[in-house]
Amino acid sequence: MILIISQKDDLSTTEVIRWLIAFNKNYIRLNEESTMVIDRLTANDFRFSIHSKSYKYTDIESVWYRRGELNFKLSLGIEDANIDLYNEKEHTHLKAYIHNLFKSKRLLNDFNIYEINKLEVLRYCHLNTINAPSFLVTQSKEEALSFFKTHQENIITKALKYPFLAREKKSLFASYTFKPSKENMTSLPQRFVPTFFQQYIEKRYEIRTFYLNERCYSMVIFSQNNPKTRIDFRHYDDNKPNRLSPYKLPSEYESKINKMMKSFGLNSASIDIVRSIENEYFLLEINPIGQFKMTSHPCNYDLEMKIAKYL
Amino acid sequence: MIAKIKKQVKNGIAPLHLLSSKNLTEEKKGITKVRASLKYETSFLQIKPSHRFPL
Repeated sequence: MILIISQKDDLSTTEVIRWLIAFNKNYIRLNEESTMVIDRLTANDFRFSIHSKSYKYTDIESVWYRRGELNFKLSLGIEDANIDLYNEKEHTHLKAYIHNLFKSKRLLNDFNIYEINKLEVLRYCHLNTINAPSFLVTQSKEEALSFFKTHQENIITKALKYPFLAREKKSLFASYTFKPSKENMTSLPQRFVPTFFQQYIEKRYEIRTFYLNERCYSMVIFSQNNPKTRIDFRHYDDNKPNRLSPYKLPSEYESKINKMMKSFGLNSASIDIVRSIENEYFLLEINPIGQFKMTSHPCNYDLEMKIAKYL
Repeated sequence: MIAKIKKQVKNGIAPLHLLSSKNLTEEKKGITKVRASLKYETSFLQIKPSHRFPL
């Protein structure tokens, strides 16, 4: 039995499941929108129910932590903010334990490390001769302006963790990577919230690599020639989409990625890389729960089938 | 929302990159038709041997 922890709307999970069905493999899809009821958890036993169906821990052979969280909330229609907050902390503890239990199974990704820290990744690159743009986190206007000047007024600023998402009435607002102008920088107040600034790399093209069990499946995105996608390709141009093509990173670079992923304990993740106009590779970030359909389909990598085979 | 964000960046309580925020709902309205037509036109090209099974 394969346990998949995901979210209701994740299409990649559905596509992997289609292959599991084709391979005649048994699976349980547990979306975070559904409840996992713990029937019995002791030092040597773990039984739980999903949609009133019972399962034993020993029935599970492999676990794919795709995204989302385990959810123990009961829909009793009673809400209490203080108790809910307390329960949330208690459940966090319990989730960490259950995910640690899963480590004894064949595991594709681990909930306990899915929120890999961008700063840790950049520090690792710095210490292990992997090119990455230099960065600064500061609350000081003076420091920010000095960094801006050092990089010839070519810097970007972006979220440390997740992009900003906010709803107002019926509209959804989202933030992207931002390349500030001189005016933006000089208008900053003397002190501000901790902000992440990074050297802007003039790119030849960007690369999205999906890493799966020591193998890199890379795709090149020609986003540089379109002003709309130059800074952040997620400003998709639907009228003139970026050209996408399979790409092979140099073996030496793939070995470095492999070593890095092992050191972070990851066996699956999406990696963002850019190749500069000087032909150097710069690693931008790693996302263990990133979307891989965008790499799998245009490049014919069939990553969904490969994941299903692994599980 | 955008005006509110600009004000809070100026006050120092919102990080600078929030100035890149845009209204996705507005943008989506314009592209739905283009996407629908593209999907139809490319659907015939996407049937590759590797995709025949198990779809």
